[in-house]
Amino acid sequence: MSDVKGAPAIVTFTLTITRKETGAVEHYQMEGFELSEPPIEEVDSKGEPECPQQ
Amino acid sequence: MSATVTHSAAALQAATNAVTALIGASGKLVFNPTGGSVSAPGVAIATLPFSATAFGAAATTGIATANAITSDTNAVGGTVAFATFQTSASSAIVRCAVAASASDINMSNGLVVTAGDTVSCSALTYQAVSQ
Repeated sequence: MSDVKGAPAIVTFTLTITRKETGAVEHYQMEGFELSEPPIEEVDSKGEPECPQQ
Repeated sequence: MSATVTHSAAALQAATNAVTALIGASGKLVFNPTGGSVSAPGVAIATLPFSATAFGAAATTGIATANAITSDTNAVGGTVAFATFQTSASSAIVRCAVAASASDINMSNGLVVTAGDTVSCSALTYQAVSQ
């Protein structure tokens, strides 16, 4: 599945993950991007082979 | 073909507020793996409950900030590809692909959450219309 990314991001957030096994704390700055439903590329190329036969 | 569309501040706010209102009371932020759709977002890797009111009112920029989000202290685990805002009845209102915004984080293989990890989220913002 191909992501269809728009700019700028419409969702931003900070995730913190505390690992159960090690107790390590990891911080992640993340962004979310809107997706077409279904992706536009998949609709446009429906029925067409991705790699044309020689 | 693309065209430029500009919205007033009131329109930006209204669009965001309309969407966040759909989350309703006691919604949740859910992280999902690759695949799925907004109607069927897939399994939950981690589920973080929103406050009773998920978001505050949008600013004039159209950006709304989430109220406090409860951590998932025992995540199911998996590789995060999407985030969804869901109602208390697990109906997805917003679904987006997620990626790192900081260059020092390699997200090419997704964010891996291990079962039992604690996942916390802060500073969550949402904007329905970008301009």
